Amino acid sequence: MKTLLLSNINMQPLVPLLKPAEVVCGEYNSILMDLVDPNSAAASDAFDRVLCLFDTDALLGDAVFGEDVPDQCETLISALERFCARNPGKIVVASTFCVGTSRWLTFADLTHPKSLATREAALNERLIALARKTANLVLIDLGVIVRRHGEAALMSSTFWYAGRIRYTKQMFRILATTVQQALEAYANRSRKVLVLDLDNTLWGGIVGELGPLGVALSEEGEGRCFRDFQRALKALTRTGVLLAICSKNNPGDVDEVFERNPMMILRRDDFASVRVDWRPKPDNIVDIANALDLGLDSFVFIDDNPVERALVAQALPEVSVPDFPRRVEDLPSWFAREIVPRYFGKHVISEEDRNKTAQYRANEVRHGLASKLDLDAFLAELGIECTLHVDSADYIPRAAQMTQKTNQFNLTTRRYQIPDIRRFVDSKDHAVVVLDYKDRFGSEGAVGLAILDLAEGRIDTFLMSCRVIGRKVEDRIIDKAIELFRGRGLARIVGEFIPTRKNGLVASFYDSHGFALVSEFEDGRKLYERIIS
Amino acid sequence: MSERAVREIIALIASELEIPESRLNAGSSIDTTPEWDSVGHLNICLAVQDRFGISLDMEAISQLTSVAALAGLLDRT
Repeated sequence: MKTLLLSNINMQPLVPLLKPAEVVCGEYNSILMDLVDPNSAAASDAFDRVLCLFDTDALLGDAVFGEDVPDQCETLISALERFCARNPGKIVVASTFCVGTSRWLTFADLTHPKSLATREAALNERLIALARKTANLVLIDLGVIVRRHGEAALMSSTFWYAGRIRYTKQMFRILATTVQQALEAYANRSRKVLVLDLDNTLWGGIVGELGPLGVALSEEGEGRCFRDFQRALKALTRTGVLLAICSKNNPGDVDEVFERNPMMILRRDDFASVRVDWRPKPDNIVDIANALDLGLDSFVFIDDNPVERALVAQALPEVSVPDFPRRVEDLPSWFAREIVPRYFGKHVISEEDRNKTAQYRANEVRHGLASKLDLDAFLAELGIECTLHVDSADYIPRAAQMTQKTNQFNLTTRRYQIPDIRRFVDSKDHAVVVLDYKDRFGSEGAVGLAILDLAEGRIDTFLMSCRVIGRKVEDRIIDKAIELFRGRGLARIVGEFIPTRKNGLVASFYDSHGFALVSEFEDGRKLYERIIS
Repeated sequence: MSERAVREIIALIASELEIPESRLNAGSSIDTTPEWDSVGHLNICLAVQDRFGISLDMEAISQLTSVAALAGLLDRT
């Protein structure tokens, strides 16, 4: 694989940026000769790729209006056509025509029938028509690059006059990336599946806390960012990319969003595969890959949570895991400008691409747990540090808030106000235990709470924020509780599970933490006991 | 010119010209380094603009042809 770079201006600074591709610069301004002469370097076996980057301004010479344009541009297109036909084994990458704004004359250009703008459009129309019927021609849209980043940042008069270098380093970098992405797309090496988280990724907020209609998804402000992101995802499905969901949530909550939230752009059948449960995400992604029968190296995973991203990146190195934008308003443009070109570039879009999701949904079959990934090793590397605060006045407001907001990992779902918590803190017969969490990605603050009745030996309240579910920190609170109960000389303690619509996650929590079921009531409430002496 | 500026400039020039840093020192210039030709020089200037956010004019490009001159520019900005 060797590439010859042809241009009518100095493109030498692009060469090192195209590495690891081996690129040789053609002779300065030899573009036409190289394309036309059957004995040229471009036509020789030494190169299997030819990169033609036209500088339209230089080609236009002294032209002011389209009618004064020398034939060079038209000649180049004809030469390109013949070169592609004569060398079907070579891939030719060519840029579109793009006239610099420093050539523009005046307002009349907009309406003048022979203005350079009109001329540019006509040239590109011919070039695009050629690309449509030429299998080995790949076009790069220079106009889009200039509109996106701005001429001022991309062009330099200084280097132009100092050495026929039109572009800044930034533009050379963008060009190099664009050429690489266009060739990847041409070779069909794009990714096939985009796996998405839900809370704070497809919509704002946490559905388990806010409800199916409470999540941010609207035509205003933050909600519009997520809605526009969904629009972009919907468009992506039309290009043959499959979407999948991998979310830690109660399946019922997610179903309700799809069924009841009128602001959802994406429908359930826009997803080839859906995994909503509390299992580690790498397990679920492996599951999705097996169900769809696609390799993990064709997967991209988008999640706002850096811990989930790190977990997936580490357990499944083949999966691409891009960072998530820091500001929600950047979400749609980040996706369109960075993610789509980087992972989902397409050279052509076929009829089959439009229906790919339906096709894969039909094939999807449920698989059992495909692989056990080493969760403990990952958790050890997270560097989790928990601090436990007992009866601390500083945490009273947060403790009350947690009892109000936490639905999923909440054994009894008792809601308390600040004065209630204060009473527990002041009481000698109660203990309020708050867990502060941090890891190498940062601090989550107070995310766990237990309220203990020390007189009765009963765990009144036990909850964890869903942000840290699955990281085994709940054991730390249980250990602390046992220590406090023992301090009161208790030999046995009582745990309680009160079922709600949302807390199915912890229905068997006590069963797996050394407690024995003592009684089960008609309303589903369960009492457990554990000997601690 | 500061030692830090010299170090940074040498690293940048070596990377642009694709030569080992050991080939360069505070006294190196376009005249003492064969790889530092006119194309190489434009690459160095493009990189200086990009890396340090300095806007060079044509005059500067024609004068900044030594490690000392480039390091001096870094110190002044």
